[in-house]
Amino acid sequence: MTPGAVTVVGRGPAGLFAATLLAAAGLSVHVVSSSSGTLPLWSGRFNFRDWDQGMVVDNPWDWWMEHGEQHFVGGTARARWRRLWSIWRAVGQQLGMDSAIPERNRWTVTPLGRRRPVFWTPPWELALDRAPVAVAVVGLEGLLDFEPELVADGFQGPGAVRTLRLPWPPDWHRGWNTVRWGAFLDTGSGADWLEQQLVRALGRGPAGELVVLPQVLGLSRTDVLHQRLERRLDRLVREVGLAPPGLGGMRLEARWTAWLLSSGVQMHHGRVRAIRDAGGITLTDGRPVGEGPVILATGGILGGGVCLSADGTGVDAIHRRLLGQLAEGDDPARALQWGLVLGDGGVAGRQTAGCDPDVHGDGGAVCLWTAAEAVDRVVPGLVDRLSRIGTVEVAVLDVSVRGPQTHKEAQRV
Amino acid sequence: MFDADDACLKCSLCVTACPVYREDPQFPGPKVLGPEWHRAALALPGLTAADHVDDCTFCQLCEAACPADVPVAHLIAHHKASQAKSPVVRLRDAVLARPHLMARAPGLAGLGGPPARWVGLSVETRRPRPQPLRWPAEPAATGARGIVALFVDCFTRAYDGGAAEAASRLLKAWGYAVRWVPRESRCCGAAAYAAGQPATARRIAAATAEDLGVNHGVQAIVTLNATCDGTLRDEWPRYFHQDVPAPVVPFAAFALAEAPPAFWDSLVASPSGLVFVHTTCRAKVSQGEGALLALARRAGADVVERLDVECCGAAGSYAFKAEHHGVAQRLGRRAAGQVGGRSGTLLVDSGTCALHLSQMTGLYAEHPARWLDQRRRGSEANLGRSTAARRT
Amino acid sequence: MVVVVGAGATGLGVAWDLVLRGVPVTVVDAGDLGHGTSGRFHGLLHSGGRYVVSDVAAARECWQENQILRRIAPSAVEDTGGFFIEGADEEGDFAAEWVAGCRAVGLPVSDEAPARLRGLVPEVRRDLRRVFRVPDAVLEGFRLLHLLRRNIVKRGGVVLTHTRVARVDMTGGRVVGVDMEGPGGRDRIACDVLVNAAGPWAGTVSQLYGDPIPLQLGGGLMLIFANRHTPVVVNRLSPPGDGDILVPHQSVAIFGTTDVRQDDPEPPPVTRAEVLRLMASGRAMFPTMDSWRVLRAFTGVRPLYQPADGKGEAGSRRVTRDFTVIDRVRDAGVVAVVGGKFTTFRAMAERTADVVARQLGVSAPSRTRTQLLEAGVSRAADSNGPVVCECEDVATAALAPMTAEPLSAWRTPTWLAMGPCQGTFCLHRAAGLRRQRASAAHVAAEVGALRTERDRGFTSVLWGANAQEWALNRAVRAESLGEALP
Repeated sequence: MTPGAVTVVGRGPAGLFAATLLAAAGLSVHVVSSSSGTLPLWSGRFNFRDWDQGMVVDNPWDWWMEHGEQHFVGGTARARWRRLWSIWRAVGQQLGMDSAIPERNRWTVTPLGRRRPVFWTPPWELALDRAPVAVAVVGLEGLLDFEPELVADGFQGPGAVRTLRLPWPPDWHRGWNTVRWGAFLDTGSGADWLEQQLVRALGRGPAGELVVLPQVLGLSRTDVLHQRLERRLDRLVREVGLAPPGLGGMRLEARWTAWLLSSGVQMHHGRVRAIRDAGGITLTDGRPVGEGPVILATGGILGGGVCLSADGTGVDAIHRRLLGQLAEGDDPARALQWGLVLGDGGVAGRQTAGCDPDVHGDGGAVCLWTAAEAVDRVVPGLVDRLSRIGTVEVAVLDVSVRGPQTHKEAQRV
Repeated sequence: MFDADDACLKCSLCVTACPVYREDPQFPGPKVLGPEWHRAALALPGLTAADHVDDCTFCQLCEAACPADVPVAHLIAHHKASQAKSPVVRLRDAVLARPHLMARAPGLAGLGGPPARWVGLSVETRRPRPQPLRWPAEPAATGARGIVALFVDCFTRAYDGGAAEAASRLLKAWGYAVRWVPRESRCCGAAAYAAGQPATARRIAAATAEDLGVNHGVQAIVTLNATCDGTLRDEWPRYFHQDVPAPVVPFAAFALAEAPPAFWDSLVASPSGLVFVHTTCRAKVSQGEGALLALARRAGADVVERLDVECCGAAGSYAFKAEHHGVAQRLGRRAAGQVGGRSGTLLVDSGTCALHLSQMTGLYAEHPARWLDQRRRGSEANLGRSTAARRT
Repeated sequence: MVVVVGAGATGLGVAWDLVLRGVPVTVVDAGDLGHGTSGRFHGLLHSGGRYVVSDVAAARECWQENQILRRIAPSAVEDTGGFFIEGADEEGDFAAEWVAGCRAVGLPVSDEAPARLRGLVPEVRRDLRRVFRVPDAVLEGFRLLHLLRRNIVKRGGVVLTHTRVARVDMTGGRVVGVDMEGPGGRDRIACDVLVNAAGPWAGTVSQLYGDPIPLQLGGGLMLIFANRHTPVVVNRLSPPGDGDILVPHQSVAIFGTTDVRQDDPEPPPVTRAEVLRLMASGRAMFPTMDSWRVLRAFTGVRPLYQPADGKGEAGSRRVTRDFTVIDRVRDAGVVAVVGGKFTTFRAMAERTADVVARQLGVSAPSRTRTQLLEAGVSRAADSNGPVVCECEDVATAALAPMTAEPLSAWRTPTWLAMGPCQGTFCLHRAAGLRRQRASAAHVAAEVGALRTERDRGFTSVLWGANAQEWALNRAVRAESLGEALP
């Protein structure tokens, strides 16, 4: 029997994706969380599969065809991956971030000047498939999270690379972090300041030059500012994702939750004490919240879904069930893979798949796959039937898959 | 001082959630003012308060965002307590920290001109006009569905009596005997805590708890103001060391859960016009978001739009203070930008937010209980008319 | 020329003593300043109270040195005061014996009302029988080491870190030179007297000059809590044992310690079992300790001179039971100093320098008892410019003087990356500053090395919020910064 309502615990990317699928299918959805999700920590990109034993994975589609079975039940199903990424693209479009789903991994540069693979990124983020002919890396005086000399190290290659630094804006003080910069550039005077400074500093520049900035181009008016700069400079402008907080993730989360709320999803704040037999959950203060079956998207250790104790035991935060035990000398990273398995009331999150997104760079894929699996447990077939996300039609991708083995063309990081 | 006051991960999720940090270039943000200042003050006794700490609205969105349960906002409130202030400002703050006493002389809120300027009140910010309530006669011992207590907060008591009356009528219509509490004008303590007077807040709350008059048999304490709601339910046990005698439920959530289906069905007949809803910052913290939207839709509103605003800037008596006028305006302007001069009704369950948002946006703001009661009466009138029409 | 091996408190102390006597000195250390025992202690400037019963001489010396250090290094000493607390369940009457011991040593001690301590430290156990106040203080170890180096260098001494002694040239049965390997390659310096102040590595160094020193090594575990928790030192009033001191150390608190015999001079790995054991002792003093966030755990190694016959040999002087100055081979030009406490480092250094001076025929007396160690710039001036480390408020101004040095040398003078985030949000910023002076490859290697160093103390105490911090740290490194994880 299909339930009329579902409760999702957790508002990280997996929780919001599960809520999106359910809400798009017309169910009544409650999202419960005890803190902000982790999205605002990151740049907003969704990775597919970046590394395999330290090697860059060139073609994650093929990688999952070959290795998916180790991680997900039915993980080799191409149609499933195409469908999930198609839905994700529709979500992006609905949220005003229309980025194509690439056929292969691209690369970006980190604030430490390292190249790292990327898959889906919001349109403003740096993601390249070949070295640019020329790059201007532009830092901001006082924003130590982005040192242009260091970032430029990631572009070493045939193209011309130059580094610039814009001076302090009038109101700057030593406590400004990226969020403050973003808020400043959201204002008219902030946008004017940046445009004038960039025009002055960049000059004419070589043809085809790419302008690389730290990810601070506004919080709510990013699209307007981004377009304005590209028009005025007549160059591509891209942001490099920074260490947390991540403005890209903040923008994504703000748009996503606003859309979910407007679609009738109810968000509840509080810590879950128990799952009610009658449906929904009970908060620690005793309040009953939500209705229907419950999907747990409570995240791992960082999100608080898994609690580690001094004696090395790990329990899940809601049932207090033992998930694992670290013995003397064990690599603590093992604990990152602990979690509930599907079927225990439905769970989404990276630990279910035995993945380690820090090592594998597959966080986006894990979120999409496990959230969709959890939703399918609650409403069988929902994911395959879904035809629209809000006003956007789900157009299933036609990604050519070249067959197995191709990812082995990868080069060492 | 509190559990988890040393748990800060430095992740800055609190900063991403802070509405003031975005609007005020000089504001250091919750991480610096809360856990970082607290940690430094332990090492440097007598550390002076940081500049701009008073600009915090105590919306608590920082605390709600924290993945490590750090009592960020409450650490900031204690930080505020170490500020040095002039005697006049201290006097003004002492009065504003006791809104339950103000409510006994509601006309004081109208203080304007040079006297207001002298005590540091913002003369531009709209003030509430007295609208006392009619305290009901002793209610029936019990209703068909039991007894609820209606928490008549000091603002409602002095300036929005109609909201309590409307809520009372609705609760009765749903089958409850309604007991109004507390008898005297009392405050939950939120105003004093927000202003950086935690000790005063606890004293005020203790007196309120003493006087609450909620006894056995009361199923729930229904609240009309989102701030009082969160303070009673969440903060009393954790920060005030005060027990709450019955479950505390905000009016909108109570309505959605308990109003019978027939009630909602009866509402669809009357047109509503454009309805905006604003979930106050404190409601987001203590409840979440979506209940007011659900209530408006359930009540058959034609077009409902959510104000995409974290904190409107009213923040209790914050916007009444002259030094906060600028930040309050900047926060409110976000709402004004979204509304863009359209006319409609704004549902919001906080009197000061209603005042501030109506001033900023030009919308007609009212309490959801009043709006729902009007829709009920409108529907009944329509129904009456159509029944009468059929009869003729 | 005197070559001192070991840039810990003892080695730098000897060098300081000698430069004040006009003797040219070079200090070499295989690691950073204080990377051995001196950088791995609890930070307590003993009043001597801990030893008044078990070792009166040591207690007396602690109290003397406590007063001297307050005078000569005020910028590295925080006069917190300390308390000895006796719980209602302590057996016997150790307190009476202890009070008598304090009197005998001349240690000022006052009997206080338990309520007074509770007012200062609300989290201390409630059932206290007796509480005594003593003049304990807090010694900021790293600051003192940097002070010593600064003052030594100012007076013409040389301090070489990351420099290893490869060979000691004993031509003619006497030290004549030392071969060293440092960042700049191999180098040789002439040497009249070699001082072995290598702490736990003193045995290893002694083999280079063919007079092996028998050492007994003991590893001690300490826990660093993220916040300060107490404004005063709190000692348990009982015979010295495991887990009985809590020391407020700037913005953190350090709880220690244990003593486990070991053979390796390297600090032993932290074991979960030992952490749990230490926490259990902690609970006996502070019942809520389990809810305090532990930031790091670290171990230090205490070296003790342990001759085979258990008594001592010709040529060794047991100054107290605590430390030993060894110059067994006459005219070899080698002096070793082993054991001791940070609190008494100056006294050890003075006696060692006396022996060195005699060998050199220098008659100038020690002046370290009264000579002020001059401090550098104040921290207030350092907080100019954008913030690099939010936890300890380290700004660009504080780091500007050291951008030419490797990142690992930025940490101890400033506390960069030593606060609650353990480098999660500051290391890339520091790397950006460093990049202005160093190549990409250098920066990458230095970031990696500092991460490894931080991980060591961090990953051994992963529970609660600290586990969350670790998960965040890992994700930031891999996801946002693209670092390869270990």
